Amino acid sequence: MTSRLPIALLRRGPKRVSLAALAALAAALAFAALTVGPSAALAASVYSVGGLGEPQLDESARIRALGGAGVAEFGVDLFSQVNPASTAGVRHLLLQGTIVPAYRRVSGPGGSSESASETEVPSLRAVVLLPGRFVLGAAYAIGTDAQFHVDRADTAGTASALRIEGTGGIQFIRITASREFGPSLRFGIDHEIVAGYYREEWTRDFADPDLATSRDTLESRYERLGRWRLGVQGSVRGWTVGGVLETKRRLPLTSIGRAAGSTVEQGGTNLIMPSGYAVGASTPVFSRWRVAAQYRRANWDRSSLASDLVDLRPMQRVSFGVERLGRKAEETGSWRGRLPIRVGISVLQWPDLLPVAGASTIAGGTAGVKEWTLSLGTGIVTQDKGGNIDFSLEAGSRGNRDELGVSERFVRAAFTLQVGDDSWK
Amino acid sequence: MPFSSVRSDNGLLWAAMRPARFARPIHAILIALLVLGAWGCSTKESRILGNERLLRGPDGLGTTTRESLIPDRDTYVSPGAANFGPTLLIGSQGGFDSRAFFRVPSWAIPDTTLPSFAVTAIFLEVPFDTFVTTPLNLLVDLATTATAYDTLASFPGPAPDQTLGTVDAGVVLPFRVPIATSVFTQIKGWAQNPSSLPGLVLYAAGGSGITGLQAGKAVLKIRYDHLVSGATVSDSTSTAIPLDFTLHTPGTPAPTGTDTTLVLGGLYEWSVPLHFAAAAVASGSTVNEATLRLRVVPGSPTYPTSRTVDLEVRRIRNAWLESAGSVAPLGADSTVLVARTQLAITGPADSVVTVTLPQSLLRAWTAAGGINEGLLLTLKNGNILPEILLLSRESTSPIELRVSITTPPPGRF
Repeated sequence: MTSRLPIALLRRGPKRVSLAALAALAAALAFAALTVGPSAALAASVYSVGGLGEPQLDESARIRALGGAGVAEFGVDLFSQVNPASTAGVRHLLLQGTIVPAYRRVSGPGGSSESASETEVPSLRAVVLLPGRFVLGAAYAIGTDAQFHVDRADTAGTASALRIEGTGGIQFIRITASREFGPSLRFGIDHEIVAGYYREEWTRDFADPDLATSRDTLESRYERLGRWRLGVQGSVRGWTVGGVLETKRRLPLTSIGRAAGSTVEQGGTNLIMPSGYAVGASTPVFSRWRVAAQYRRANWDRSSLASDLVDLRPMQRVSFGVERLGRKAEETGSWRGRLPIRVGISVLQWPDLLPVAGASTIAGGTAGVKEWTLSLGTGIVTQDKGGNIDFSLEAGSRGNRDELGVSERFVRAAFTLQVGDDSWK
Repeated sequence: MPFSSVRSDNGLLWAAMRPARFARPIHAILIALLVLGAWGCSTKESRILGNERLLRGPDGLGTTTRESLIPDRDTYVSPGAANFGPTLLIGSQGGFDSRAFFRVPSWAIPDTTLPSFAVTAIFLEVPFDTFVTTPLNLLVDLATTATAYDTLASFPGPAPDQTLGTVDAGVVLPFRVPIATSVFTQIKGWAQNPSSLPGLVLYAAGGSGITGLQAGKAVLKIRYDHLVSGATVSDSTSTAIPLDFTLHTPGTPAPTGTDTTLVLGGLYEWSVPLHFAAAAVASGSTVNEATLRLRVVPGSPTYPTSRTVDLEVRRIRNAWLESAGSVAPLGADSTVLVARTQLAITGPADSVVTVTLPQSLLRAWTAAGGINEGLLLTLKNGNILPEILLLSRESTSPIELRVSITTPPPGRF
C-alpha cells in the first residue's frame, strides 16, 4: 500500500481522526440502542396492534439498502441473514449489529394524521471461521414486532381509561454452520429456534376512586422449538445464485390471562411456523455496478393460527437492488468515489389479513397489508476486511386507509456496525 | 485535490485522508444518529389512531359493570358472652345490668410476725376509665362469688356470696372499695390456698347508672403498722388482680328479624350479621370494587367530640338465620377481615359509612368449595359509646354491597 502523504501526517492526522470518529460512532450507536431504543420501542406499525405484528427485515444496512436482496450475497466480510450459506466466505471473526430508528406518519379517518417514531435492533450476529473451513455463527433476529401502546377512553359499562402496552413478537435465535466447497459453491444450515411471545398489559383506570384499577396481563406463549433452514449459493461467470429452504414447525401455543386473584390458562392450539423459501441472484452489470434480486416466501395460511381476529396468507417479499461499488483503495479519486452507493426497492406482502375497518372480526371481511419500500445506502469499508459501517435510508408506505381505516408512511434509517478480529489486532 | 488511502497501524482503511474532509461524513452520520435518536419518544399515533386498529371481537375490550347487592339476611345479635375488653362496666341503666368479675391468682401478704403488726386498712382499688362518666349515688358492692370464676358464664354469672365492701362510685377517686380489716384473716387463708376464693364480683347494689373501670388494673391493698426501733411504721402490700371480665344482661329489645333498624355497638355490644347472595366472579374477571355501604338512620346517636371507634368486619363461617340470638353460633372468624378505623357518627354528614372489603372476598365466597355465610360487623370496644343505628334490608334505604367487576380483556388471537 502506498501513500502520497508524509508519514508524519499519517500518524498525526488521519489515523487519530479515524479512530476517534469510529469510537464516537460506536458510542453513538450504543447510545441510540441503549437510551433511545427502550423508550421508543413501545410501538411498531399501527397494524401491530393485531395479528402477528410488523414483519421486520433482519438484514444489515448494506443488504437493506439493496431492498433486502441478500440471498445471493457473500464475501470475506459479508453475509446475509436470509441465507446461511452466505457466511461460508467469512475468514475472520465478525461481529455485527444493526439498529433501525424509524419515523412514521399515520393517516386516519377523516384526514387525521399523526406521527411517531421508534427504534429497533433487528439483528445481532457473530460468525467465526473454524478449522476445516467451517464457519460457525450465531444470530438473534426479529421476525415480527408486536409492540404497541394504546390509550383510549372506554365507555363500555362504567367509563374508564384504558391503556394497553403490547410487547413481543416472533424472534429467532439462529445457530449457523456453513462451508465453502471450492470458489463457487457454498452450503449452509441454520438451526433456527423460534423464540418470543406476545404479551399485553391492560390497565383500566376509573374516575371513581372507589373502583380499583384493573390490571390484566395477557400472554400468548409458544414453545421454543427449532426448525431448519438450508441454504446454498453457487457462483458461475460472475453470477451468483442463492436459495434457501425453510422447514415447517408446529409450536404449541398457550394463552394465559392474569388478573388480580385469577389466572386462566388455555392451551390446545398451535402456532405453525410455515415452510418457506427464498431464491435470488446477483451479478455485475458494468465495471462498477452490480444488481441483486430476491424473492422470499413464507407459506402462512389459515391453518397456521386459529383465530377470529386475524387470517393469514403467504408472506412474500420481492427485493431488487443496484449497487455502485466504491473505488478501490489503490485507485485515485475523491473520497466520494470510494463510497459505494446502493439503491433498492422491495414489496412486502404482510401475512396478516386483518379485519377491515369497522369489523370486529375477520367474519366482517379482511384486508391485507402491502408495504412498499425504497432504500438508499452507502458504507465505509475497512481495508482489513474486518469491519465496516453501513447506512441505509428507507422510505415507504403500507396499508390501505380505505380498507383498514389507517395507512402509514415511514422513513427509517439503518446503521450497521460490523467489526472483525483484525480491527483490534 | 485527490487523496489516496492509507493503511494505518491497525489496518483500518478510510476513504479520505485529509482530516477536515474526512471528518465530515462521520460527523454527518453522528448528527443523523442523534437526530434520529431524538425521535424515539412519541407514540402519539398509537394512542389515537392505533385505537382504530384495536379490534378484538364482538365482545369489545372488556366491560366494567357495577351492581348493588342488598342483604338477603340481616339482623343484630348481642355477644352472649363475657367481655374481655379494656373497660369493666358496672352498674345498671334501664334494663341493662353489668357486673365485673375478678380472680386473684396469687396474693401479696404482709409479714405478720413483724413487731406490733396491725392491719389498718384493706381496699380494692381500680382506676376509672375516664371515658365513662360515673354518676352519683351508684352504690357498688364488692363480694366474693359463690361459685368459681368462669369466663364462659353468661349473665348474671357467679352469684355474690360474702359482701366485702360497698362504695358510692361517684364520690371516690380513684375507685376504691374499703374492706373491713377483719377480712384479713380470710385473706391469709386465700393466700395459702388461692383456689379457696372462687372469685370476686363488683356489681350495682343501689342507685342507677354505669361506671367504667380499667380492666386488668385492679389492685387489692393491705395497709398495716409495725414497730421499727420503737417507732410505728406504716407499710402496705399490693396484690395485682390481672384476671377480670364483664358480664351484662342480654340485649333488649331482641331483634325480630323484620326490624327496619339494625343496632350496632352500644352497651349491649350489638353485632350485625349480613348476608349477600353474591354471584360468582367469572374466571379471569377483575373485581374492582367490593364496598359495603351502611346507611345510618337519621337521628342515630352521635358520638362525643373526638371520640371514634373501629368498625371490624369478620367472615361468618356457619349457617345462620335472622332469628340468631348471639354471636357465638355464627362461627365468625377471630381474625378481622377488614377494619374501618376511627369511625365517628357526628351528624347528618355521616349518613353513609363505607367499608372497602378485600376484592378477594368475592372470589372466596363464590369459588368452588367457597363459603358465603356473610359478614359480621362489630364495633371494637364500642360498648362505652352510643350505638349506631343502621337501616336494614326491610327499610327503604338498606345496606348495600356495591360490587364492580370487569370482564377479562379479549385475547390477541
